[in-house]
Order: sequence, then structure tokens, then C-alpha cells
Amino acid sequence: MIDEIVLRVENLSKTFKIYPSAAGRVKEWLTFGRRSYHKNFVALENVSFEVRKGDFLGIIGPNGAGKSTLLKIITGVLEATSGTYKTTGKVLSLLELSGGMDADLTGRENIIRSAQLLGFPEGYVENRMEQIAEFAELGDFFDQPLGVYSSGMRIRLAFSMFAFLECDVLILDEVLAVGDIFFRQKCYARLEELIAQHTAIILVTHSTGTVRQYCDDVIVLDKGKIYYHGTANESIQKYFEIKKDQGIKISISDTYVEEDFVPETKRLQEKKTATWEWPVDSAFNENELPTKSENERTRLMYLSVRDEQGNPCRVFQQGATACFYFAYQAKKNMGIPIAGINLFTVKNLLIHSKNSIQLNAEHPRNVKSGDIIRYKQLLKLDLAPGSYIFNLSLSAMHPSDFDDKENFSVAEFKEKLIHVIGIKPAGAIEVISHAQNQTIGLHGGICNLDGELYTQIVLAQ
Amino acid sequence: MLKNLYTYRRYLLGSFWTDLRYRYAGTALGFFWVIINPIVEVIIYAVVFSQIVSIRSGGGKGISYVLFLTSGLFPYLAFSQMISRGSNAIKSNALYMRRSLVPAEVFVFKEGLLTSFSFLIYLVLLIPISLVADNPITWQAVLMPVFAGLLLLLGFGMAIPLANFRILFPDLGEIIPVLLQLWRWTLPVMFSDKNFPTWLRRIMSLNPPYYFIRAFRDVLIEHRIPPMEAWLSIGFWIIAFLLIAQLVSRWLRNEVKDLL
Repeated sequence: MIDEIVLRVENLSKTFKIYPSAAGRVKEWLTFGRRSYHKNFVALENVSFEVRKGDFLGIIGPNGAGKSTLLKIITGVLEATSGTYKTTGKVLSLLELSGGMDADLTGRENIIRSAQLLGFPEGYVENRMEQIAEFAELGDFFDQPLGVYSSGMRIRLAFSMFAFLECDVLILDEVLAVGDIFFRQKCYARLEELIAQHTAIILVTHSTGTVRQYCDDVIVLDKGKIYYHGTANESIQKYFEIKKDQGIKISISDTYVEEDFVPETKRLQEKKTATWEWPVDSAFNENELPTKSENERTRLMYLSVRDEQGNPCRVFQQGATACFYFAYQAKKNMGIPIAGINLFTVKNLLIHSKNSIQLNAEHPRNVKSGDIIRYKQLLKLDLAPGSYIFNLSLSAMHPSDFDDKENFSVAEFKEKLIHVIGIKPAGAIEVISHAQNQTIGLHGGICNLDGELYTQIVLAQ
Repeated sequence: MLKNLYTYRRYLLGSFWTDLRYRYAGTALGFFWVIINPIVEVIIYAVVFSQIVSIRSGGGKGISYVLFLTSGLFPYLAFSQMISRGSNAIKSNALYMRRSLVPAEVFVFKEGLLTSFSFLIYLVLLIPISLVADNPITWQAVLMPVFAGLLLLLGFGMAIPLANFRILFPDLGEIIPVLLQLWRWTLPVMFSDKNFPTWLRRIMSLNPPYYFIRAFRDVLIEHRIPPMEAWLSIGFWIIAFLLIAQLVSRWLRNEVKDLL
């Protein structure tokens, strides 16, 4: 089994020396290093992992987590400060590739040039040129200078070349996030072919969707360390934890029922009697608030997305219920406030929108400037795995209009509705596939619609 | 270092040709740009030294001064081009350095190849100048390309450490051109040191490019093979600077790459 390992990284660390100015370096040299004028910046700390033949390893992490540094060390561009890595075979990296091409040369010449830089023997790419050209689908552009290419075309060229250079470990980065969807599909199909031929692939990306779809094994890097190493779904959960918390972690014990909830309910219509729990204000993390959450009419004071147990959460399994806690402080008197959440796909397709009227919720009356209105809205996320964006909106209505709302036409109703604030976007959530149904999936398409299927068979005579 | 150059020989030749093609083929006057700068310099110096100032340059008057001047100035210009472009090679190829394993000396060497092309044109220019100045071209002149190659090798050895330092100390980018201007006056390029006192000539001969510059005039104008001391000095400096280049690039390789 040991010969299957194509890359072994052990306790890799990298420290950059940061000099405030070039003069600092001179001074340090003049004292023969006895006095130090630099600061150390630790880009990587004790990173260890292994890659086997045919693995598809994903590396995710926030910007500045050390992903590029790690890959540069593996490809040999940078030298590690300590630790070792061993490769048994050729490592190729597509990092920054499209930026490193010569605008004067044609696509064909650039491929030859790059192969020379990468140390491939003479005639190697020449023999594969037709395959590369066909894969890139650049037509006549293939023999035109790169200067006339669009950025998407450059990436096509770069990827096509790398897809046909033999290597044992192929490192790819964000490049696959751009380009049109058909080409992207083709790229992934080609990657599957490579994996079948036992090429190991390391993918560095921000796209959790890609990672979930392709990677067996995912490393989450944060601040130069391996934050988590495991399956795609677990790692994505952890990745969102980093992004969400950014230092401040909210544990379950912080959330409890606030005893003196009563004053707020005074102005509520007595429609529903069930009381509900609002977490203490200190349990809210300011990082969850969107940047633009205020106008002259109101201010979004609190926002937190939680799971059913009340723990802050932005990653949900399919079919789980997300609890949106949010509170507005009115800056003007606004009569009856009407709140709602709109859920969109990444491509800005509205999936669901429901406001407090549609939900038949209790509505406070005569909200005065300075009042705080708290909401808890539940959404059952019967959705396909993926990222979703939610908006928050608040409108208001005069109490007499509100009482009369059943008698309005659609147009009249809209006219009576006063816009207070629309927060676009207010945040993002991630839906991950249901653990038990990963192969078949719970459903296709975006929504899981309730339904049943009955079967009969009429046997042939 | 030699091994690296050999490994990337195909890249070196390939990019040398494409650089030549795009640097000159795209411009209206093409290869004319290679010679226009030295010719302007020659005209200025010829007018200033042999007509206006009329000091004892030791190189004769009129056209014979032009021959004397060009046989020293052309090599020096090629040498300084090698240093200034070579010392900038890492910076200008940072894009490639950042993502590939190609060692820095390959890029410096490529600048050397491009400079050797200009150098070749300069040497060819010396033929008509020589003929007009009534200076017969004898068999010794075949050594000129050899000296050209050796001079560029010296420049290559000097440029590698400079190219590394240039990344660590960006100020060098401004300093190097100034030094190259000043350096010219410490060498017998525009004037002859024949009539200088012996002690001064001794000191001047310690300057690494001194014997290189002299060698061109030895073979072209004085029709003689340079003396033994010249060969020794030339060999010594080339070996010394190539060694320094090797040591410096090994010492600074990681630090430079971290900064790119």
C-alpha cells in the first residue's frame, strides 16, 4: 500500500521574514544577524497529509489561510522553513497559470513555451497538440496571439494544456470557477478520466459545491494550520464555522429564555397564545449582521440563523429547519410592521418568500420610534444541496388598513403597503445533502415538493 | 548552474527567438533601433572629444578617433546592456519565477543571448568603420567574437548577484544605471591610457573589464594578440565572478523567491 502514496507532507511549516524596509535587511546583514530587524509571519504551521494515487483532495480555507503557500512548496517553487514533503512523480500546478502566459505568442506557441518551462522533453506537447486544440475549442483563435483572447479563453487554453500533460499530482485552483458551464462540465469529465488513470488531483477552491461534488477528502486550512481534515460534508461544516465565527464562538449555554419578555407582548394582538423564546442579546454575534442593515426608518439590530436546538448554524442538512432570529428597532412610528424573508439561489432565482401576513403571525400594533420588534421565523429547507442567499424585508401598514386588508384588491393592497427596509442580501446559508441519501439524492431540482406515487402494473397477456 | 542552463536550453533558444522577433519585427525600423543609440553616442563623443574639447584623448583625430572610440565603446555598451538588463531579469520575469521551477540564471542568461545579438551587430559595424579609417582588418580580428563572448560571460557573472540583490533592495534599480555611467570613465573607453603614468595604469588595470576592452583594440587596431597578463586577468575575473554568482544565488535563492 505504501507505494500508492504519491505525495506525503510532514510537519510542513513556512515562515516569511517581513522587513519594514529594505534598510532593515541591510542593518541585519551588517550585524551578521545578531540583531533582528524583521518580523516573522507564519504562513504555514505543521501541516501534514498524504495523497494517494487517484485521490481527489480538496483544500478550502479563507483568504490568507496559506493555501497558495502550501501548494507552492509542494511544487517546489518555495522552500519550506521546516518539515518535509516527498513526491514520487511529477507534480504540475495550474496556479496563476493563465496570468503567466505571453500575450505576444499564439495559443500554440504559448503551450510549447510552457512545456519548455515545465521541463517536458522535446516533441512532448507537439504530439498532443491536436488533442489540446480540440479540447480547448478555440477554433482559429488557437493560432492567434494571446493578446486577443478573452480571459475565459485563456483559462480554456491553460486548462486544456494541463489536462493533457502527464503527471502524478495535478494541482488546480480557482480557475475552474470561471468559464462557461459547458466547458466546466467538460473539465470535470476530463478530471474524472485522469483520476481513473491514477492521477492524484489537488483542488484549491472557495466553491464548497465543487468540493462536495468531487473531493473524497478535504482539508480546511485556517491561519496556516489544518483546521479540519475529513470528508467533504464535515469539512464544509467546519469551513462555515470559521467563516461565521471568526474568533467568537457561541456555545449552547449562552442561549436561554429571557425572563422579562412580557412588556413586548403587551401590544401584540391576542391571536396566538403560544409564547416563544428570544435568546439574550449578548448571544448574538455582530458578525452575523449584514453590513448594510440600517436606513432612516429602521435598523436591523440582531440577526442569527440557528438550528432547531438553538445553536448558531449556517449549514443545514436537506429537510432541516432553519430558525431565523431577527429584530428591528424602529426609528419612526410605523403602525403595523410586516416582516418577511426571501430566499434566493446563487443565480438570484427567488425560491421562496413569505411574510408575516402570509404566515398568519401576530402583528404588533402602533409601533413607536425606539421600539424593538423581534421575530423568529422557521423555514424547512426542503431544498437541493447548495448555497442560498436570504433577504430580509420590512414593510408597514396603517392599522385601519391592516384590519381591512381582506377587502382590498391585490393592487390596492400593494398601494397601502409602506416600504420600510429591504436588506439584500442579509446572509447566506448552505444546504448539504442528506447523509443517508447521497447516491440517489432526496430529489432532483431545487425544491422538494410534497407528493406521492402510486404504481400499478398490467401484465402482458 | 551550467546544468540548469542545459536543462532549459530549449526554453532559452525558443524564447530568444520569439523575443527577437517581437522586439524588432513589430517596430517600423526593426533592427535599426539596435544601432541607433550607439551611433548617436559615437557622434556625440567624436564631436566633443576630437573637435570641441580637443584634449589629448590619445586615440587620434577625426575618423581614426571614431575607430578608436567605437572599438572601445561598442564592447562597453554591450557589457553595460548585459549588466542592466541582466540585473533586472528576475524582476521582469517574476511572473514565471513565481510559478515555475526555472532557476533565475536561466532568465539572466536569456538577456545575455539577446545582448550577444546586439553585440554581433556592433562587431559587424566595426568593419565598415575600419575600412573608412584605412585600418586593414587582419587575421587577429577573428578573436573579436571570442572576446565578445568572454565579456558577456563576465557581465553574466556580475548580473546574477545583482539580479538577486535587486529583489531584496529595490533601490538598486535606480543605482545600477548611474554606476554604469560612472564606470565607463574609469575605463579607457573614450580615451587611451597610453600616456598615463605607469602607476595609474596599474590601478586601472585592476578594473575587471579593463583587459577585455583593451583586447578589442589590440586585435583590431594594433593587430596583435593580447599579452599574457591580459589573458590571465580575463580568466581570473570570469572565474571569480561566476563563483560569486553561484554562491550568491545559492545563498539568496529562498529569500528572493519568498519576496516575489
